[in-house]
Amino acid sequence: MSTTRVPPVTAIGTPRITAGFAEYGRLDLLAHREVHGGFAALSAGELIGLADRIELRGRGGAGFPFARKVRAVLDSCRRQELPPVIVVNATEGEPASWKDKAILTRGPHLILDGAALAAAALEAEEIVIGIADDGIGQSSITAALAERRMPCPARIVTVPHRFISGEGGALVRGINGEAHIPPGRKVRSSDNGVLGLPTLLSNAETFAQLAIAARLGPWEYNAVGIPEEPGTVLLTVGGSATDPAVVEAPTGTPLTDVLDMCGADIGPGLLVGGYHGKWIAPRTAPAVAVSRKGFAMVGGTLGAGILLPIGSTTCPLGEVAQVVQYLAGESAGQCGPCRLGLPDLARAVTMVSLGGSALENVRQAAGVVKGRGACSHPDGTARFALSALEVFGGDVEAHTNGEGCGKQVRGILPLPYTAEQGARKLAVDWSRCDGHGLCSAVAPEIIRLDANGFPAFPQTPLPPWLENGARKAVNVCPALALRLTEATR
Amino acid sequence: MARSKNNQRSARRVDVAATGTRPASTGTVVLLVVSVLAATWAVAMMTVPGRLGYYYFFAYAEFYLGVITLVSLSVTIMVGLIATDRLVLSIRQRVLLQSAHRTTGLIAVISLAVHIWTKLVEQHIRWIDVVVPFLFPYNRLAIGFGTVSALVMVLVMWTGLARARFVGRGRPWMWRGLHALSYLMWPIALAHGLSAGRPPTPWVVVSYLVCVLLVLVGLAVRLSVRLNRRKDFSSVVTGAVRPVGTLVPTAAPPARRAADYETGGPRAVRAQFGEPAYRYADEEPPPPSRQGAEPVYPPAYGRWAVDVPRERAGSGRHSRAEFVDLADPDHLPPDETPTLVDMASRRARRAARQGTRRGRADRRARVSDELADEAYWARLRGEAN
Repeated sequence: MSTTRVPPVTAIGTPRITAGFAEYGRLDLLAHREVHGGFAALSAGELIGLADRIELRGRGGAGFPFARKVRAVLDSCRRQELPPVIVVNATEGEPASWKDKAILTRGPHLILDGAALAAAALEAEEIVIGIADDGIGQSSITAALAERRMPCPARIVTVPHRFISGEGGALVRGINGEAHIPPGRKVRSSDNGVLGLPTLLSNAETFAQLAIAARLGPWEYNAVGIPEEPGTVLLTVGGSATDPAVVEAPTGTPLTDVLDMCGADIGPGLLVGGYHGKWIAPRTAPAVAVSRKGFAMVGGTLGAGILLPIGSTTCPLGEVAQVVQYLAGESAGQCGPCRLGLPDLARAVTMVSLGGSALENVRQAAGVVKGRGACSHPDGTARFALSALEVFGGDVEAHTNGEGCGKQVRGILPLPYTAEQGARKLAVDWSRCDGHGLCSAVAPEIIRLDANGFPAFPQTPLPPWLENGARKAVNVCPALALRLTEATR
Repeated sequence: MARSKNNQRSARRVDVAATGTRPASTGTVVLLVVSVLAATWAVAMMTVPGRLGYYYFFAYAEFYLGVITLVSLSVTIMVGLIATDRLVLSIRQRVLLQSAHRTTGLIAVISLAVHIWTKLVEQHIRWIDVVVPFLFPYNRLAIGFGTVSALVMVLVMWTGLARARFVGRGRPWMWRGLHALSYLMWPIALAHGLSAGRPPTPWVVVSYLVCVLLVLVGLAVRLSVRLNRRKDFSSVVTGAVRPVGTLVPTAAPPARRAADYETGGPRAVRAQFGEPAYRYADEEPPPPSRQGAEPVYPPAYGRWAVDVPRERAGSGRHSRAEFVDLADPDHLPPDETPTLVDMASRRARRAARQGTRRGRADRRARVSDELADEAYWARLRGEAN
């Protein structure tokens, strides 16, 4: 990921979070003060009031009301007589999302302002900023932290760049020095988070919005956007867009405006809310206004503000199959239904994209994983796959009954592991493979057997943590048919 | 307001593995084991009970480790043979047997090392006898057998460890051949074990013989199953590809490309000796020169065999790298139309090309060939990638 560049940032209407990005590039403390000015510290009550009146909700995808979160942390602090910890979640494990990285690299002081505001109001013990270890934004946030004063000790923690490491519980565990995977039992981080202290954990953009609101005040903050969800949102437009960008837009902006601005060709479908989100059909897109409510009306979700138009030049089912394979590989492997069920789901989706009529199999595989994990990864993946098959019904038809859509898979939906970065793929010499099946016994999370007893495995590059299992499978193959392709770094 | 403490800490240490445990690298584990052993030994040497324990260990190792080596080698071979069975065993049982095969093999090689070490320390053998067989003056045959089987054991273990490297094109048979050397080595090792040291009791000899017989039966079963389970349909049904028609030489024999540049190549030859006459006997009327005298050959190249032995077309697959790319003008001298039956000139040309295209460039060309192949087959399979 370190080779990829953060996409450019633009705004519809008056920029707030992205203000000054065009003039200064990256806002250091001086530029930040010049653009945004100062703000007054708030008490805990004022913070809750402000968050309530601007309807601030978590911008990481779940959309939990920020005020309620603060209240829960305050209650917990009073009950346990412990100071809280503020955690800024800027890990952004979603491969298609760039909004937090855009703020991290170009306006880091806004995030720090928001965190400082919350820390001062709650008299926090410490601030922890969690970022991914892909190198993007690390130097920027480090430099920003070095040139300013914070109300309490602040530290930066890097966690491995994985899809599930953005989950709140996983981040808390990572900060505590445990495995950075979601906890098996739901622990409310407002009760028992970092170092066992009550923890206020929210997304980086949430803190940045809080910093904006503290300056503007609720009245002016609510001047843009729709009344139910005032203010602006950061959207990442990628996929088939000719000019992929991070766009700051007031809520209520027509979706087509944002897409047109980035030169996006919707094609047969638009993915909203990232890889745990849903697909919406192109005919519904013109009616959608960018907001949680607007997307919910057409069966979508705003999530972390990711918009991925698929475009009409690629094979949508092939793309979806690749992403489901990727998501199956992203399972932490701690819950059986997810570890073994997601590869089944990926296989079912791949079968559909290859032309088998296996829609029922997909539904069945999705039903097996739904709601059966410590985190929402299996649910999100199942939702993604099912909504894709629904929206791309025409393509499924073409793949089932005919020659397929005749388009190539172009990799419009980004995947973080590529052969160029040294990720390896499994390959099999089919003329040698004799269906012994030992590979599926040692690496069931990668290799399943088809009805004839021959191995089926993802065609996408393997994530590093699955390479070991793949190597075991290669070693047990009695026919010496299975191999790991050489890394082409 | 407290001063900003920018203590950056990395949680990278925590975990990258899926299950929450981070596998240690092999080097670290080996280093740890070796240093723990060395520390234990050093501490033991400093105390009287430790020295006594060491003495007992040495006596034990000297007396038994040869036996342990032989027994675990036998178990390894038998388990390895059984693990290939598909008739009775389930997948899980086969995986289990495979790991048992690896474990006992490792035990065999480690105890072999200790066995050799004790024999060296006792000066029962010399250093050179570890690597060169049949040099030891006393009991030459029995101890030489031990050397031979030790060398083969190490070789076979290396093939086991480096198995993944043999997955390339055409290499599995090399691996199988090398790994199956153990079947030949085992009787030699048995001969060494039963004759080099103390005389064995009859039940030991008998049980080893029974083991050998069982393995022979197992091998026979394995071979017959393999022979009856041919899945390469095409080679059974289709005959060999055979050229039809009489073979006659093309006009210009193959020339090295470098020579082409110097002399002007076959074009110059053609200008000098006139238009080349014929390719197939039934294609054109035979030129007059053929009737009476012998055909005229360019003196620079001399005569070459008209009756080219036909190369038997293999039934297996052809790799694209072995074909001459007809579309690529660089691969062919301009006036040579390749005739499929003219194997001699093709072979010579290939030899000439191999002389020039070697090493890295050759490998790169092969890799790109493979890539093109892969894309082609992927297209055929319908995986539009």
